[in-house]
Amino acid sequence: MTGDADLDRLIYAHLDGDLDEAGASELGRRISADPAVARRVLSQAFVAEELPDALAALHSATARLRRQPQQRVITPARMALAAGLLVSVCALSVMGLMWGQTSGGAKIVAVDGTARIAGDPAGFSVAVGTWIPAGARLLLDDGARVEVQLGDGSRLTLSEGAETGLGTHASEVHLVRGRCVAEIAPQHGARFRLFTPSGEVSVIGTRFQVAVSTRSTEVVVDHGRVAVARAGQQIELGAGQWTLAGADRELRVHESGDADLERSLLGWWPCDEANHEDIRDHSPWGRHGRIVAQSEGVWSDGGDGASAVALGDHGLRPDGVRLPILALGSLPGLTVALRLRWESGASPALLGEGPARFLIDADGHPLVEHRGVRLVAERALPANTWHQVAWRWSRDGRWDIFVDGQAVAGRQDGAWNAVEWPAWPLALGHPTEPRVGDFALVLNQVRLYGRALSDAEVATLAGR
Amino acid sequence: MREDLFVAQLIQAQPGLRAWLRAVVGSASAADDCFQEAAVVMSRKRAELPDDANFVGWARTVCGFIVRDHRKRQARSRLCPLPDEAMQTLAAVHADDDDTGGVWEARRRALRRCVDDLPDTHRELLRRRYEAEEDVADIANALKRQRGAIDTMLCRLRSSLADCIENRLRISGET
Repeated sequence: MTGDADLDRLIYAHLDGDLDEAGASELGRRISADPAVARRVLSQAFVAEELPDALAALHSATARLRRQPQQRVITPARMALAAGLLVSVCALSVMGLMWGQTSGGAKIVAVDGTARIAGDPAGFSVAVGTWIPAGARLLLDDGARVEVQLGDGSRLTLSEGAETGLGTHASEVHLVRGRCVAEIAPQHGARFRLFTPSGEVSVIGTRFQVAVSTRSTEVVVDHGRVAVARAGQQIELGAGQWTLAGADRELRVHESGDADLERSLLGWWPCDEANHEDIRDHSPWGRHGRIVAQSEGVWSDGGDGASAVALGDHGLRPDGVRLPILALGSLPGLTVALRLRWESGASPALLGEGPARFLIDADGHPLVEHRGVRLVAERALPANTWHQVAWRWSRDGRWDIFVDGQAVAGRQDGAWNAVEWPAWPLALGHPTEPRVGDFALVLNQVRLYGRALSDAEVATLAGR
Repeated sequence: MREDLFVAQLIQAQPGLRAWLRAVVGSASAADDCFQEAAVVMSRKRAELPDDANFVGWARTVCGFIVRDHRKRQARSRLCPLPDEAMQTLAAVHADDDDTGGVWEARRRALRRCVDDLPDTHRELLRRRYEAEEDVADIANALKRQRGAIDTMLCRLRSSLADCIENRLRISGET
């Protein structure tokens, strides 16, 4: 069978939907006459179906985000599970149902990293095109990002170790933990519901973001209207508004500019565990780090009775503190803030080899490198004194650097209009460089936010 | 069938069922539509299926009904379906070749190795067509080649990958 070029051409055309009537007749005749031909068709059909994933598996994680989903509506899904708080998004219904009401399942339309179906004994990683039946739970690795399309055409982009359950009703999804950006198709009078351990979300066509940590559920509405309910209390959110719902918080409507240093906090490492093996994350996410290359002098005086991590030749080696990989995806902004005492030399990337690198140069200038473009603060940090340094990126392609709560550098650049941020292998110090060189720096109070903090919020962090 | 068992069985059977559907209906989008319709029907009917039933056989039967409907629709379109007899042969061969999850996962692994072994230029051509989903005409234009030459190359590559999978499985004893 191998080497039958005419047959292969017929199969190729058939599998691409390009076979004419004569070709279909000829291929059909050969299949019927010889099971070996049928096997060859099946074998090539398998290649045609699996080739996109095989190619993607050989590329970087970024390249795996491919095969933009087609706009046709897939068969509606039946979903379900259970939870606590209810966020209901109320928007006007416009379109009519194309596939009738509800029935189950969802389809994977993009995969970056590893995700599995809970309870699957074969432990298959899901791939683009994998259909997830109702009742299944999808588990993402920390660094993974997965986009699923529901039966009504709604899309969920899951990240940050998301655990998601598909319910028995088309318009029900459970987000047990992690982050979900939901773009909900018009629901035609019904409500889409997204449950979290601390709540429940229902939507009629809008876009919003939900982040579920161990303590709270953060809801940000991009457009449309959302009603959020918890424990008998209900609020409504419009575009740009947000709320944090949790056991220890009152449910309130916040405007986009409202200061709240708990909002979009992705990690907070005070580095106050002197002499322990872990660097604890004090944010609700629990992204704890581990000291993997302990050496003398790891812990230093952080001032005011606090401790701090020493990086450099006499402190931690650069791969000394590993933090979990963070899948960032589509962020409205980013802020990195930390206290540091620079002593000498050029630092490694202070928060690992991420999509942007935050450094102190050999003369003590804070700088950021992003997509090959640098922003360097004009004023150098005085050696051997404590300062709070913050780097802030906003979606319009602007970076700002702050020292002690005051802006010391800022610029907008087309190269910085990043819409998608790749996964970030977090670490204190450069995670891969074998030797940093002659430098010494001490840091603590490392905070990472998934948004651009306001000037006032940065100043608050600096204690101004 | 219990829900957890059903989910596991369906996930494992997907690659084989999708390959069979693609072989029967031809185009990727049609196979995709058929699988999703079939999966929803299976979800509804799973309670009627005993836990120890032949899941793949049952799933193929459900897919067969969906394909039949699809073929009726297709008959009214410009697409030319394979004759019924050919479809039956494909079903019989697919049933003969045990399509358990392990077999298909081995095939996936083999395909990845085969793609990895391709010369860079060939892999790049496949990537443009099947990962970036560029039109054949656009690729031909960019490479200053005839469209037919690109089609021929893609046809040979897919065919050689199918052969490569079979060879790898035969050598590793996983067939």
